[in-house]
Amino acid sequence: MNTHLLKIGFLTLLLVALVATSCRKDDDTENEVLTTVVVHLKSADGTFDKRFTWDDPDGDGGLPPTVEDIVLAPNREYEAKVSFYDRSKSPEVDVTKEIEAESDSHLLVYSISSALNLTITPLDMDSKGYPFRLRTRWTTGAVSTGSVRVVLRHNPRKQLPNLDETGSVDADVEFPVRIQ
Amino acid sequence: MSLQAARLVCAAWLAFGSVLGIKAQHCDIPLRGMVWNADTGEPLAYASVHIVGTNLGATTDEEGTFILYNLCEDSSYTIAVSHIECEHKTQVIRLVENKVFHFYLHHHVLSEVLVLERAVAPQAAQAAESLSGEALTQRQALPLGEALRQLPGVSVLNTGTTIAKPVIHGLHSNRIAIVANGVTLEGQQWGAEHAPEVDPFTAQRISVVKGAAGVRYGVGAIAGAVVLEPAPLRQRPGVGGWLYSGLNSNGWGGTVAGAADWKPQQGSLALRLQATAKRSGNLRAPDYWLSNTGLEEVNLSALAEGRTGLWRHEAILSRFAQRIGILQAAHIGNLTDLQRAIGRATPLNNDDRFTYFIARPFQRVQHYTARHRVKRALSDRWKLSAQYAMQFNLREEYDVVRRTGSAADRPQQRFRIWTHALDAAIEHEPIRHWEGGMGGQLLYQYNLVGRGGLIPDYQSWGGSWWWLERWRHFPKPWEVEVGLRYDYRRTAASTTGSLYEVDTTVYFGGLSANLGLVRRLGQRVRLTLNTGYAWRPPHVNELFARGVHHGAATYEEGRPDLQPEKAWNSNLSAHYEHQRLWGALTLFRNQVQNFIYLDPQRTLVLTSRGAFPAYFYTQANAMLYGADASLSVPLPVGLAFEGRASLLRAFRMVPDSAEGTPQRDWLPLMPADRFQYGLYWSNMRNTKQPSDQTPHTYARLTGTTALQQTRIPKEGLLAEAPSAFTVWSLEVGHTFTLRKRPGQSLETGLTARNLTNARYREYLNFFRFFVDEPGLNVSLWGKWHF
Repeated sequence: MNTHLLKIGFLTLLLVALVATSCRKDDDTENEVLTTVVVHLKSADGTFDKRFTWDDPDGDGGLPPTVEDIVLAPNREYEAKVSFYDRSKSPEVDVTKEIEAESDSHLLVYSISSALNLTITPLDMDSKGYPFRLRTRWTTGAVSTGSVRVVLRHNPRKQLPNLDETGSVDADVEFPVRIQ
Repeated sequence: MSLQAARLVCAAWLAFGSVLGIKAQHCDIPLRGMVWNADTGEPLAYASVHIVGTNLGATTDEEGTFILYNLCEDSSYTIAVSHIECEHKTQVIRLVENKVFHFYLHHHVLSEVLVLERAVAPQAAQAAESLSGEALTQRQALPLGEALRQLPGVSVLNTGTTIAKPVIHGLHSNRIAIVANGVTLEGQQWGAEHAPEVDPFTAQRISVVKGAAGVRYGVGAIAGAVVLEPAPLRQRPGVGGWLYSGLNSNGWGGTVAGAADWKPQQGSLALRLQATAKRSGNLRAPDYWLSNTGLEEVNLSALAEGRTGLWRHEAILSRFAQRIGILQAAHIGNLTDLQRAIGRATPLNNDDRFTYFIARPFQRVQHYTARHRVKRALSDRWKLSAQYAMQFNLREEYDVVRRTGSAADRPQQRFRIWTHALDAAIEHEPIRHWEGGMGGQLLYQYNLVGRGGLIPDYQSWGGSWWWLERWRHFPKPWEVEVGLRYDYRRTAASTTGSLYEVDTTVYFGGLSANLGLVRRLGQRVRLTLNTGYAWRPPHVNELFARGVHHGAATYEEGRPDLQPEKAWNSNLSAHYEHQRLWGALTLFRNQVQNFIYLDPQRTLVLTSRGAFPAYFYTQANAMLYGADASLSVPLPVGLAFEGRASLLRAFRMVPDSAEGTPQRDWLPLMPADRFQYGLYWSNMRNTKQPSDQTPHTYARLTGTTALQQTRIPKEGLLAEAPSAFTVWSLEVGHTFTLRKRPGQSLETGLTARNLTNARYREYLNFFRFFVDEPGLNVSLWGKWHF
């Protein structure tokens, strides 16, 4: 009686171990690398329409990224939209649409260097009425130079006062800016 | 060394050995024995033992032991044993060196006298610590690293509480070997957050060998080894085993484990099935819950033993599977966030509540082992053994990802490693007081990382040859151990579909050697001196890694031209033991040439997630030295004072570009000096370590004080080491015998860790930047032996 039970137990164990090893689906890993960030700036009258690109197609390390200087005129207003791409895959993946579709779990944060006479105000909100800031208005002041840092955050806690510090960073790039 | 040369050496050695063995008969061997009362199981004092036909004889002492000197090896003797209360008995034995003969006598009953011979285990020539009995049972439900934490010279590298790696004299990961059931664990041990895939419940004894153990445990063991030994399988027919169940208050965790042993009436087969299941939720620091620190674990193993003809077989099949949550507050996207997260009173991104649910980031780890070992005697003296072991290790890391949908259940990193190892050895019984063996190993390893991995895919081929001999001649107070080993490794690394291309093959070969001396001074003192030379080839991650180390917020890059590390490790130990007073002191010195470490660069690497400080793998000569001590002093009423200390100093020589003379700098992440002290009480004051089955009660109160680590490198550290702390723990245990079921017992215990709910942080815990260590944890457990 006892012996039978043990034998059965042993065989079951063997089977479990074998099944567990052989039946796993061989999915690929999923690694998204945001290699490219584009800031698209347009003036209301349509006279200015330019894309400025931060690009690192070989991923982290290796060759340093190429960054375009953003050159704007003083005392003007621009509408800005930021786009994100994964160029490590081919064809490249435009991630912006997904970010827009899941606006409530994303947040963009801009930091402007103190010497630069620029203000950025949001033009959009997420699906729940919290800040999103993919589309913004850039208002330039007097002639100056500096930089704008664009950070994309994922799963932020938008109801908290320090929302800009919460969540995790998906992208964090800095563009040199000249107002001239 | 070519195979042919190895074969030649082996043959010559065999021939030499057999000539020595046959040629002369040595008549300087003692007969060591013990006389037992077979009815009560107690040793028999004042029994007289004499050799029939001679005038040689002795009387047993109070412990039932006797020694007869100057007998001839390999000869048969008729031994007569008598005692006033027992039958007079004679028995023929064949004398073999380093064996103890046990004579079992019956009270005035005419029955056969039973003689058992048992090998006298050689005394460790190397500094070692071990965990067994009640001390192991108290800690078996913990991860391996945590279970070993209390041993002197051992510390733990943590990524939270659930990921714990043992550290021996400051070194860990690929610098120590973990050997479970005779198989060296082959996983992704290079990662600081990759815990060993070993279940402490499978072991009856866990030993930590301190110092270079390259000869015995192979390439890489330049700092030591952790060896897990299972309990022997049943010798007598029947069924037996144990069942363990435990609950933890911190994390509301539970553990169930058990083993069933079975030996049928007929045949030589013996079996064991063993299983462990664990689950726990979020742990709690004194002031807040640690979000996403849950754990799930299910382990299974089966052991079988038997004989076919002259061969003895031993097979093991085991599976280890774990899912471990990683503290959400420690998930750091970039340097700015890391700096923001460090030093906050309450952790950032922490979900301050209890749950069993494990969210991203988490790790899923599985390890499978299949092993078959065969052994047979070639002659009275010579023994042949061979072993094949297959291991498969799967590690998946699930990061916090921006994407949802189908991608949401895929891992970001997957490592798979298959290892096949074939071992063969020839061992011999004492020949002119030398006993030992020679053997070899062939190894093949295939490591698949796949697209986007931190390290390339690789295949390794390895071969090794070893020779180990031990000289002992009772009652001479000296013992000598010498060992030699050669290892060869060839590794071909390549990347597929990654942004960074690697396609190269590297070769490494090297010699390991070991010399150990044991000197006994009387019955109480033992001195050992061990000096060993061991090496370690640079691992693939040190050669070719390239990428951002998340969590640490550093960019790491390997260096393809790294040379093997070579360690010269010496330790001197002294042991004193007399009744319940005992103490041990080990002094060690480990000089490592080409020590490989991550060197902080003065540059930042710009990525799309911001700038990261760059760390490049580099090498320099390093030196680690220190001392471990432990002490137990008996006090009145069954109490004893226990103390332990672990001290370590570790530095490297940094080439100074300006002066040209190397400068000393401390090595990072070395354990701070640590002291343990406390009281132990047991109602079995005469027995040092009662068996699991004896009814007894014990209690142990231990305080641990770790000093602040002030010996840290000048640059490259994000924050200063946490301040000194003291934590207390209490262990209480009671063992019952079950009167209605003879032979069965119930061990019960209560363990409280961090008794005062102290807020503290460990220097070797990576999460020290973000959160406190867990607070008070009370565990209640029971283990039923049947």
